[in-house]
Amino acid sequence: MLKKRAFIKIVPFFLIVFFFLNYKNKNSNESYYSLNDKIAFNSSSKIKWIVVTSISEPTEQCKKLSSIPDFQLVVVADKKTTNTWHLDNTIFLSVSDQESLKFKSIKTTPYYSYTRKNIGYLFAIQNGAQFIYDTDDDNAPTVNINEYFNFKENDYGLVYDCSVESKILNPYAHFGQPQIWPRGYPLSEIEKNYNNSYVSGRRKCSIVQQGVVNGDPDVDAIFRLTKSMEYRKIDLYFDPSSPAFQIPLYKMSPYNSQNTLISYRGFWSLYLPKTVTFRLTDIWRSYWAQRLMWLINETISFNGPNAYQLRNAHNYLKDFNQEKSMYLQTEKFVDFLFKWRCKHSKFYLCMLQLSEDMVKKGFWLEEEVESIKNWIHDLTKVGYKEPIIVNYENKEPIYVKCEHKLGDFDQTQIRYTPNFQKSLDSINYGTEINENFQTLNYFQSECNKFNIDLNYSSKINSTESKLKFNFSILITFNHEPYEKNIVILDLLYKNHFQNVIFCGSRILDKLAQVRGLRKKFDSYNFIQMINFGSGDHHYLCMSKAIEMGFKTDGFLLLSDDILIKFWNFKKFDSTKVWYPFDLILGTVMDANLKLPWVHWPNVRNLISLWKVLEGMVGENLDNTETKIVKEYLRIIDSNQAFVGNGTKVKGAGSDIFYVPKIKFESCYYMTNMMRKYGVYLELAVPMLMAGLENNQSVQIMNGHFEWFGRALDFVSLYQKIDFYHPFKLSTIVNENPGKQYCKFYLYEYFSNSF
Amino acid sequence: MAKFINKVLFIIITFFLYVIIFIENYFRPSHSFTNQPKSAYKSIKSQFRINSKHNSSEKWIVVTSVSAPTEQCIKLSKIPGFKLLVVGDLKTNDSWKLENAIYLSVKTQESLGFQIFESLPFNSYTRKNIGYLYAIAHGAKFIYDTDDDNAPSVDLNTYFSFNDYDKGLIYDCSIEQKVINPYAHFGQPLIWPRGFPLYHIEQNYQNSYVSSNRRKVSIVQQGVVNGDPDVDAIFRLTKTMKFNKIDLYFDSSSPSFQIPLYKMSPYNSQNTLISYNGFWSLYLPKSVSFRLTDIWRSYWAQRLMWLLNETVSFNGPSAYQLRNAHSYLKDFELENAMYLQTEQYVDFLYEWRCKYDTFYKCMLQLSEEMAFRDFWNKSEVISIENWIHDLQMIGYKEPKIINYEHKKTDIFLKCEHLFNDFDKTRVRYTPEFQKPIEIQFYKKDNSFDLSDSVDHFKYFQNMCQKYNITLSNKYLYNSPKQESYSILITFNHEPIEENIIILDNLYKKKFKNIIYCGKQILTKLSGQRGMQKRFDSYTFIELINYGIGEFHYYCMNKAIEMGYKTDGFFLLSDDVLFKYWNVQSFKTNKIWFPFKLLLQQDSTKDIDGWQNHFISLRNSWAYLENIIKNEGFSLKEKDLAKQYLNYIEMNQDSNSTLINVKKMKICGSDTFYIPKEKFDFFYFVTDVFRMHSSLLEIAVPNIIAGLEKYDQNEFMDGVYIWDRSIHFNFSQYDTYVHFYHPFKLSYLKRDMVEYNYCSFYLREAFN
Repeated sequence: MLKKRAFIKIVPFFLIVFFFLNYKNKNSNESYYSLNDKIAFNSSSKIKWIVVTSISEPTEQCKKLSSIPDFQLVVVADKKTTNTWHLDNTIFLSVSDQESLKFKSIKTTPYYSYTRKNIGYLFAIQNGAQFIYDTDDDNAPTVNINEYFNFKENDYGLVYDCSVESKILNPYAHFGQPQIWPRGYPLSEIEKNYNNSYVSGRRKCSIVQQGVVNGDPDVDAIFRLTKSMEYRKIDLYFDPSSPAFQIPLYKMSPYNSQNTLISYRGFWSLYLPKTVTFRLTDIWRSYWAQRLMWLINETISFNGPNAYQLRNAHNYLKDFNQEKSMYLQTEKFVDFLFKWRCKHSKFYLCMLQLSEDMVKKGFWLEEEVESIKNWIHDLTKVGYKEPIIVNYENKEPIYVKCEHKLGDFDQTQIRYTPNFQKSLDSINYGTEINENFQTLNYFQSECNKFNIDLNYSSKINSTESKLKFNFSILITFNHEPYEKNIVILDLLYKNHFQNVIFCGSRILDKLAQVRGLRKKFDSYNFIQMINFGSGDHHYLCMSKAIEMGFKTDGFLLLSDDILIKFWNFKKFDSTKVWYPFDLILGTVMDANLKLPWVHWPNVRNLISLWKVLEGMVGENLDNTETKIVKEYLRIIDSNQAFVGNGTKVKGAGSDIFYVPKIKFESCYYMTNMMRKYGVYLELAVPMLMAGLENNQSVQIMNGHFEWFGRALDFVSLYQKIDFYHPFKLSTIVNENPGKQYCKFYLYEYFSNSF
Repeated sequence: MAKFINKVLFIIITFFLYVIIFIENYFRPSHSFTNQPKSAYKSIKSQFRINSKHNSSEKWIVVTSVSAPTEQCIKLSKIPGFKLLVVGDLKTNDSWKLENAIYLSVKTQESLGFQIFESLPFNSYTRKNIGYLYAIAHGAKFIYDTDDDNAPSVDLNTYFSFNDYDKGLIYDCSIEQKVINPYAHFGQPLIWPRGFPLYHIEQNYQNSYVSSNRRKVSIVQQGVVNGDPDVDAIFRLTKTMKFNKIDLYFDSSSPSFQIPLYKMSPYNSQNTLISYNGFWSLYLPKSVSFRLTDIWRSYWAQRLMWLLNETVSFNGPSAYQLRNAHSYLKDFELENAMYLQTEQYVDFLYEWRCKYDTFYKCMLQLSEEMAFRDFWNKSEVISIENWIHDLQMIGYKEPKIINYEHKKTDIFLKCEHLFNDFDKTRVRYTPEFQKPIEIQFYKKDNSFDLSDSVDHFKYFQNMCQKYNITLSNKYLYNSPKQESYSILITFNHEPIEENIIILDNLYKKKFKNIIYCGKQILTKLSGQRGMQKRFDSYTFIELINYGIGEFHYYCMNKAIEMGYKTDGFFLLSDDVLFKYWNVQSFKTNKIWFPFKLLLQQDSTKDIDGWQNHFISLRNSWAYLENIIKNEGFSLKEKDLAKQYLNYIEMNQDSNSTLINVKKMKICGSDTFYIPKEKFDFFYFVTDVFRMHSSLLEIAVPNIIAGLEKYDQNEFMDGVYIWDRSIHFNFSQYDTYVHFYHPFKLSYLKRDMVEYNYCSFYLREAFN
């Protein structure tokens, strides 16, 4: 009897033991050391973090991400990720690690969900992050992101013009692909033309900086279904020379959670909502965050291509289904955000109010609010300071009016046009317009008037021009430019220089009727100067071009009335300064000198500027400005003709000079100083060049300055020089010198360039 | 007492069981459709109430309208031979009136006594179903289904085919794609019609067809429209540009083509002709959104057509459609089900099998299963039952099933065309690609020239540059106007790809279409398949028993048979040096021939060297005389035979010494031109001569001599070099001659020939 009853007791005992053992070793195959050892081991007080999620073995891109200097990679696991995931100098947060972090968000973050990344963000913030690079484990940048992104508080560059009426901006159009649109972009905006007006000037760095990617950029399922072709990968490129640009307040643009840098002041905006589909969570986050940024005067900005992304084709119809509510709701969501007002004067209260109102409108579900509460709680717990509201919406007038303080020293109006890249349709269907063809066609029909054949038909086959410089050309107009001259100069230079930029006064609206017709865009790059006089400070255009942030090897500045045989410039070194004269400074900087030069009295301004420079060096502060001025004065001294008797200067023709990329920063600073003190161009430019380059390494351009109005002698003088000034384009209309212009200049241009 | 309780219990249980069975039966959709459909339609022959004669007509136009008579409505009411029927709705004000148009107000619709009246919602496009019934009840044989904002710019009576059989292109059923994009066929491969499955958009278009001398006319013929064609909201959202209307064009010369059995293509309820055998397919489903009703109808109808061996066909642009912009996002929302369900819907239709042997039962079975699969709402089934009842009531004969499906599972009849020149001929057809929408917006830009309009100039540029001959670039500024006729190039031997490229570059952009015809030609240059414009270019007709070109004149029949819309075909063999700029003054409605067709040679005696080829001529003539006497031929054939023999008589040389002997002509026949006015006539006579395998030098002159009086033809001044031993040399090259024959393209490989070719021929061609 006993045996039977005992037996009954033993069985459950065994069960419990077996169960306990089982539970124990599940735990033990945990990564072999506990969470804290991992943190201590890896993070050497790094302030830049990379947060990704991964459900597979360490990918190639993951390895690359882990070896980026100064960045600490943290990988947030999900239930599917094997716990033996390991990669050196990478922190791997397994599911149990995450649970041990004791964040309230753990309870409200679902498993098998991309939004587990929120825990990774909190972990990084907790461990001293000042910058978080948000990306995925299938995407690694091909450039050094320490240089690519901007880690400063303030900088200078392009800001989209807030007076343009469209609410949502298409960053892909800015980078040269106006025919495509990013995932999350409202469908009804696709047909609209892109209004390419900006301002250039000082700006507060954006808290979110997103980089676009070449190859297979982030587009929605509708794009993939309607534009991709069988057996063909999407292989698109953006203009590598395009400057980054900032979205102003009261405008928006969708951004995703790939290739994006978020700075400390923006960490609150990292929260990924969990009650929308995977294809929507980062887009909904971007619109939600940008509305809240208006309260704290913060912005987002986009930067040029810095990575090549390959995606393997999968069932786009499934994506289409997942993105369905995005297509239908984005319009309403954006309209709602533009009408929404915050009733509170504390930022987190506004964040919760917005999240609750979004629930009422059905943009996401009720549980999102509680999850955001936990997110706020954890942020404060890890020591993150709550942002302070700047533009209160519960008191006086709601919107800060959009007005740019225009003045050459404040903000300058810009019309920027990228180099349009091959559109997907032209790649797929060979409807490519041959850009060279337009130039060949135009000049041949002009020269037909003087029946000069530029043996154009033999050039017709060249699709690529054989003459290509990696620097950009900057053309200044002393007086209001004629449209015909802009067209001629643009056609002449655009196939050979990285960018063609025109700078002058009353230029912004020139050739505006082309707006919207071609590729939804209004072509040409115009910098609108204000107090420009008749070009006596045209050197300021150089600082404007640098300020805009083109990614180019250098800028060749020349006035519109210079004839240049640019095919002869291949011999010059594009990392050095070019100038038509030597840089030996031999004239003593003394206002009372009697010189035959009418503008010499302007040297007084130069003298007062010199006092300021020498004063700065005297103070010997350790800031960038002082470093620039010290270096500048050092090079000036190295170019002095003889020692003693004060600093010598030089006056010379300044209608053409070239500044390389490495000298941009000091050139920008010194040019602005020259302009502030009103130094006349034929003094300012030589003094600038002499402060940037030593006389031994300056590239001297051989050309002719004609001061006495004699016409250019094409037969003899023309053969010996590389440039001639002045040569008025308006004169080529009539027989002379039109015929010679065709016969000599254009003929030589065609044979050298195509 | 206990027994009593047992009995009570027993009753309760049985009652309870009975209730369960009842509920289970009632709610379970009855797919095993054992008995008659629930409200069995009563096939009554009851006299239909309204039979007033004055409203009856054979051709009807049915539209719905909610506004006052539109301009297009007025145009529609004036089309000869067609009666316009306008179906009103609650919103249309009942004083709607238009001379020789019938307006059905809601009240009149009710008085017609159709059962469907109860199941059709108000303020719905599907009220049109009543209009269809009304027209059928009033003697309709053809119904032109369209909308009140769309009027054809061509004469409907010639645009559509109204007889039972005709000739023309059928899409090749051996291609594995299920859904075909008609817009690609008409020259716009980058766009897709509303209802086209999204997943198919990326696929390349396989442009292989068969040309058939006898095909059953499709019960549904849809015409595409220029300007703003019917596209879905996704296309409009992603492809239009602000301030710019969609302004697309299709190739006006493209032949119509038929979708074969077991393939499908969405069609809408605009610009579409439905013939009597297809009236059952007019039903517009009411439980799907307005943007979907005609598309869902088209897939539903095409699946049922397989049972009846009926088809759909598409025709070239016949109207210019302007649509005022409205919120495409609203359309996107209405079309949402279409984007998500079309794939499953098409797959479902391909798997579905009809279990019955009468057509209407199959129709109801399909409609029920579609309701069960949520492709539409359950209420649709009752409405279709009413539709069938009303069709019966007005005397519409129920179609007979031909391809039964309830016996065998593999319903797909093997897709085999029986190939021989007289039955089906394999064709690879490429349209003239029209400007894609992306480029449409560039056109307004200044002198933009697309690369592909310059390529052919570059081709010869490179050829001649070796001898530093530069072709003048004036050609690039004012490219010559395109001729309104097409050019048909025949190859005696297997064509060499290099030669096709030379000829294509020579004639491209200069003629409406370029067609190549010969043997073993179909797969030539197919390497570019899918590269360019998703298409494999060139149009090839592949003849089978072709010998070495003795019957190359039969290519003209194949080109005519395909159904091109062109002013005429200029046939030339590949070894003719054709100076087309010298014939620009010729009239394109006349026949062009290089010899005077005054018949002088004795047809009764054989000449040595021609062996018994003359017999084929005599037999052909005898056969034609037989057609006139014997009643086995149609009136039309008898009339054509009569006309032919009259012309042969008229062209006999009256002052020839051979009296009362039928005279004929033998001459070179490597090039001639037939205008569209003579297409049918030529087609009929040439068939007879080909049947009697008449040699080309005998067939061509004696066919053409029977089509027109000899002095009405344009006389082509060309040079024939008969002596094969002397090769063409450019010494006697004359600028004003029309052609030289033979000029073998392979000569170009010989020294100096290419140099001369550039300096003489190409220089003239390109300036």
